[in-house]
Order: sequence, then structure tokens, then C-alpha cells
Amino acid sequence: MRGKIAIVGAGCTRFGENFDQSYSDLVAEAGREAMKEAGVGSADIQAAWLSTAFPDVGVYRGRSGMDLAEPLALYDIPITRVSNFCASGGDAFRNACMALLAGEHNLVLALGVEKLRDRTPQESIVKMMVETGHPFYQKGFTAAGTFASFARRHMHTYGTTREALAGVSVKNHAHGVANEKAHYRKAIDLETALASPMVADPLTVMDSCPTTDGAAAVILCRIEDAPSYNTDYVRLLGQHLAVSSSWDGPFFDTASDFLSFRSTQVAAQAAYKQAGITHPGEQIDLLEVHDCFSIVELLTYEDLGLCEKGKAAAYLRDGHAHLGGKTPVNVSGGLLSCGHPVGATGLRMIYEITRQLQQRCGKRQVNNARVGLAHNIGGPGAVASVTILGQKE
Amino acid sequence: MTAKTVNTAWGRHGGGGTKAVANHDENALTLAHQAAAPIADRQTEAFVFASTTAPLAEKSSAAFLAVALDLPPTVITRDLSGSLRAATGALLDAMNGDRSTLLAAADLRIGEPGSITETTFGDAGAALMIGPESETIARHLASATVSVDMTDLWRSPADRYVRADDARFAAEEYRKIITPAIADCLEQAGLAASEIAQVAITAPNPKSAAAVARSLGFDRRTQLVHDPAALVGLTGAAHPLLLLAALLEGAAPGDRLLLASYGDGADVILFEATDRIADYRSPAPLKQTLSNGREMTGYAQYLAFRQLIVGQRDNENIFASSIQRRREGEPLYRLRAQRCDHCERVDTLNLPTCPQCGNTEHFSEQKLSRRGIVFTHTTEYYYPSPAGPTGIWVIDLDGGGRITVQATDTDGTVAIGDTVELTLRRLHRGGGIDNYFWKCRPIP
Repeated sequence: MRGKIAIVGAGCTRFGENFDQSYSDLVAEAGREAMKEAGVGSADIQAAWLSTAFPDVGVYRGRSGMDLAEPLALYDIPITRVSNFCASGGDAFRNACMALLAGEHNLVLALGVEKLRDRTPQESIVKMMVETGHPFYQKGFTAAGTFASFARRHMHTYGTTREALAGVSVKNHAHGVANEKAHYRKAIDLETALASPMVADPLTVMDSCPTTDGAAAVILCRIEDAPSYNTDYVRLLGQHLAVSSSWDGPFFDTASDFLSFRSTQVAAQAAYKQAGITHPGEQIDLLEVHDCFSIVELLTYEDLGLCEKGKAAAYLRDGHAHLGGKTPVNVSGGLLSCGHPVGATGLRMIYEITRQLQQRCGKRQVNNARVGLAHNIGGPGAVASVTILGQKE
Repeated sequence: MTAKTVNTAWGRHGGGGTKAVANHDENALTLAHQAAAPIADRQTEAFVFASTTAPLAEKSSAAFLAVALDLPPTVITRDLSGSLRAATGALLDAMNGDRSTLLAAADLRIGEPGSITETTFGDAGAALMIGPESETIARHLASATVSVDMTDLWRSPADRYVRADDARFAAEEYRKIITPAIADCLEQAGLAASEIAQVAITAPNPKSAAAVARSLGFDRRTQLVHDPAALVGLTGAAHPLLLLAALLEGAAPGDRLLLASYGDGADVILFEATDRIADYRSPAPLKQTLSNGREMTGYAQYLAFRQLIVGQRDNENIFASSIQRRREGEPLYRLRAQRCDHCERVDTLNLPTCPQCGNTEHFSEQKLSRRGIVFTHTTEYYYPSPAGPTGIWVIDLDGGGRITVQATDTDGTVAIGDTVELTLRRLHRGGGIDNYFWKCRPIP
């Protein structure tokens, strides 16, 4: 895997309540930005993967690869719709990489898109969790609650406080100010974060990502072909995806201690091995992690091995995850500022790491960014993707 | 809910007493389950559910309750309705027969908003185990029954509320019907009123019961059981069993206890407490339930709980399936989980493969406890509910197994390590029918 694949084009729409953009409009915008950077047209793409997690929430687009074909006129090629809850983006990227490694295609596209705001936020994912799912044992949770129960156990076991959770929100809202594609670009202070209304105790509105539209895309090829598309390409160093549990697993299995996500640990271990990373805290220059809710970012510091188990709050407090710190996390603003168009998020992270490695991030540029990691988890924590990218040699 | 709260909402003065209001997720079926579960004996030969407010007129609630009480499919199930005397009729039949019987009676009785019954009706459930004389805490000495066509209270399936005719006429007929029935029962037993330790009589109001008792020669102060109706309201089919519980809980060996139940006539039953009553402790005594209540936040909360507000009905758009209920509901309602023979892992959801060791063939059944401790928890503020934010608690059950369920009968205060018990509640109305599941509630 290491060094065999290159990203030669990347695109990302503005993330937000894009009322004037349909699902197809989002696809077209992200796809075209990536194709323009790679200097290719639709006819050059040989296979594609579409990541949309919840097609039935909005306008029924995203159930099939045809909804990627139509806006970009990508016809007569294999297009697969990928679905792995919030990890769909990382999964689409992985599949695109596998096709290149198999030698079956030479230039491929992975695009993630989610159109959540053709309905009110209550009418989208909350309604889905109320009206679908098992009639008996999957009733009562919204997404926030599933992660909140992890937060509660971490607070009980390690003394993590609400202030630590809010600290993630304050950091990522500050980071988002410099990201012109973020949904929210407004800094908040700790008092505001702590006083914001409760969503699922102990997680507040400020601990939670907003309901957002958006799309992100990358175009990939094998490394030897990269310079012919884009001399400013980025290399893949490692990629792994692991399904380590199920939706219900932790809630009906005493084996889960609610203190970590094994899927992140397994995916990271494999990706580190491919990338030759033995000390993530020293060898990774920046990370995009899946802060759908603030607790997930804290757990992820531990699951990725940036700090010891239970020490995430201290890691944050010591400034290591801030822009300018040892391992800046979510300088894009993360899901808390960018929002979480579910299928797009994993690819937005890869877009951000790509732009950082290309030194094109202006005020949020991480100095000496040479190696970046994108962590994308879903279901609530059953499946995780870890992607490690590096500058071209 | 206090009568004062109701009257204030309607712009009326005062009013004393309280009524028991079932939670938004309860109905007559769940009330019966709550009463029966602590005493349910799997060896029982029959199970009877008595109620005037069973959730369905066609489809047996008793059959579902038998599953949720984990009774074997061979148990004889009966649904009784139609009369406030349904429970005592079932009790008499059981005592006169030779089959052990678990009897549960419950009503969730809605009085018409703005009427007096809104303050006098209440919700309750009660259960009895009837079995061979060699094991009884109270034996059946004598009884008397009279059947009367009396149009004092009635409710058709189309009526939401009980309808009533002239109250003074009803009170006078009550006295004329129940008094000779009690006298008849005493005569059959060859006992005088003075030889009865305690007497309990269902009545439309306390004055009527006192007058009947006095006219029969009972001492109101020392012999007449204080009717819990002043606290809980008139609880329909459950009420005679509430009174019987009051009789049994105050009884010493040898005491004669008389229960009179009224509705379309009367059932009068005379018991004698046995020696076994001295050591008997009910797992859910009437005394405890009377002191366990929390006050409603106001009249509006009552209207929301009972769905008396237009637009606040159950969401029927929720996915539900009778096929899935039959296949997957059965083990979950019976709390029968699976234990891996290789690695001992208890699997609440009965998965086809053990996630811990990969075993696919060698499983044993594990009966889950209804008690456990809170492993972690949250409270959902965005999940739609008439009761406000919904607690979701992850429970590690005694003896193994984990289950994650909604919390009920709680103000939301919870800590990891708290003890809870599972309670069967209405979850939602997907598919146009009540879907039940376990919730948990704190136990002190």
C-alpha cells in the first residue's frame, strides 16, 4: 500500500445549509473541482465510488452509483455506491485504492455527498431513528445519545469533565474560522459551550455537529502515473478499515467497556504498520478526526495512541491538539464546525489533509505538514477508517 | 394528581384527595404485568386478566401477558371484561375450581374531562396467586353472589369515558343490593358481624361504605378497612383486589376477612387467614405502592399522558411487524437469552454466532434477571415523548447479560451503579397497535 497510490485531484463544496444546491449540484461542484485539479474530464474517469449514508432521508438520491453518473456524465463505467454509516467516505476511498492496486483501473474517483437540508433537522436523522430500526430494542436513542453513554462512562472512569468536552468544541470552532468551506466560522468561548442546551446528557448543542449539506471528492491513480496529471500530488502511506462491532454491540454485550472504539484501534494499527509509523505522536504532523460529538475526539486521541488511555483531557489541555501544537487535530474545524454531511465527511477529511500537504491552507496551514491522518468512524463506533497521507517524495 | 390540581384547571374551588395516574407508557395490560410479575409462578395452570379497559377488544391481552410473564404455552389464558366485578368473579371461579390460577386485574380509567369522575377515578393493577389449600395464606370460607341489571355506570367501545346516570339513585340501589348480599354471606358462614376481623367494601364513595357497614353491625372504626380510594381513586376492576390486599396485609392467623365487590350486583367473599400469613411478605405490598407516587407537574401533563389533547397522539408511522414480533418478541419478552457453551458469554439478542469465540452451534439458554445495575446512561432531549427528556440506561443484569432500555418512573436522577428493575411498558404504536418492551426503573 505505502507509496503506491497518489491523489492527483481533490474537490470540496462549501459545507452548510446549501438550500440552493440539490444533491446533484453538490456532486457536480465537488467532482469538477477535483477533475480540474487533475486536468481530466469525465471521459477519463474509469471507475468511481459514491459515498452517501442516508439516501432515504432526503430525496432518494444516493442509493445507487447512477446518482454519481448523472451529474458528471460518468457513463459506461463501474460506479459502486458505498454505505458504512459515517465511515462511508473513508470506505469509498479505500475501495478506490483497492481497484488501483488490483491494476484493474488507472484513474478513479471517490466522491462523498449528503443532502440533509431538504428537510428540517428533526425530520432527517432523528426521525429516521424514531421510525425505523428494531421495533423493540432500538427505540429511544438518537445519534447523540449513543455517544453520550460513552462520555458518561469515560467521565466516571477517568474523571473527564464537561469542561474537557467543551474544550474540544472551543478548539474546533476557533479552527473553523479560517476554513472558508466550514458551515460555522465563529469562535465560541468555554462559558458559551458549557451553557448551550443539552442534547443528550452530557453532550450539549455545542458538543454536537450541525445538520449540513456538502460533497467532497478525490481522484486517484497509481504513483507512477501521478506526475502526468498533477505534479503537486499527495501520496498514500496507509489505509485500513475495520468493522469491530455492530450497532447494538456495546449496548447488549457486557464485553464492551464504553471507553474506546476498537474499530479505530484496529484500523490505526494496520495503517501505522503500512506507513511505517511506530510513534504516532511524533511521526504524524496533523490529524482530521471524527468529532461528530466532542467525546469522540477525546476517545480518538487515546485510540490512535497519541496519549495513554484516560489521558485525553490532559492531552487537549496541554495544547497538543491545537493549531501550533504537537499534533494539531481538526484544524479544518472538524465536524463540529464543518458539519457532517454524513457520506461526505470522510472525503472532506482527505481533501483537508491533501490541501495541508500541498501547503495551500493559508491561516490554518500546519507548519511542516508532511504526514497527515484522517480518521472516519461510524455506526455508532462499529466501523472505522484510517487513512495516512504524505507529501510526495 | 390532586383533586385540587384538576379543579383549579377547571376554575372550580378546592377538592380533597388524590388519584393515581398511570405513566404515559402504561395501560391496563402493563399495570397487570407489573402486579403479576413478582408473584408469577411458572407452574400455574391458568392465567386470568380482568379489566374493563383492556387495550384491545379483539386479541387476547392474557395471551401476551402469559408470554411476558414467561408462562408456558400450555397455561390456560382467559380475558375477562365487562364488569367491575370481573376480578372477584374470576377469584370465586378459581377458588371453586381445582386449577391453580394467577389472577391479574387492572384498569386505566379515564374520567370525562371536567366531570367529577376525573377526580374520583384512578389507575391500578393487582394480582393474586390462587392455589391448593395446603399452601394458602387465606382460605375460602363462604361467599354470596347476586347479579343485577343496573345502569349506573357504563361505557361502550366507542365511548372514551365512563358514562354515569343519577348518582343518588345509584347510591341508594348500591345500598339495597350489597347489604343483603353481605348478610347472606355471613349467614352461610354462620358468623356474626362481630366475629369478622376486617371488612372491605367497594363503594361509590366512603360514606356509602360506612353506612352499609354500620347497618350490618360492623364497627366502622375498628373493622372497616380504610379504602385507598381517597389516595388512588376508584380503580375499576382492580379495586376489589386492592381492598383484598389491604385485608391480607393487616391480617393475623385465624382472622376472618370479608371482601364485598360491587358492580352489576355483588360478590361477597369470606376468607380465613391461615398460620402461613404470619410469615408472608408480599414482594409488592399495597402499603409500598401507596407511598411511592410522584406528583404530576400539572393538569397539562395529565392531558398529555392520556393523549386527551388533539394532535398529541401516538405516532403510528413507526416500523413494526407482527412477523418480527412473533419471531423476535417471544425470547425478548420472556427474557430468554443465550449463553455460549464455549466461552460463557451471555448474548441478550440471541445472535447466530458468538461474537467472542465464533461458536455457531453450542448455546444454552440463559434466563435473564429483571434486576440489574446501571453501567452507563444518558438522557435524550430530542427524542419525542410526552414525558419530556427520555433516559436511556445501559443495564448489566444480575447473573449476566446487558440490556439497554428507556428509563421510566423517574425524574432522571441516576448514577452509575444504581439498582434498577425491568418493567414492561408501552413503547410505541407502530402499525396501529401497542408495541411493548422492557424499560427500567430505579428501585430504592
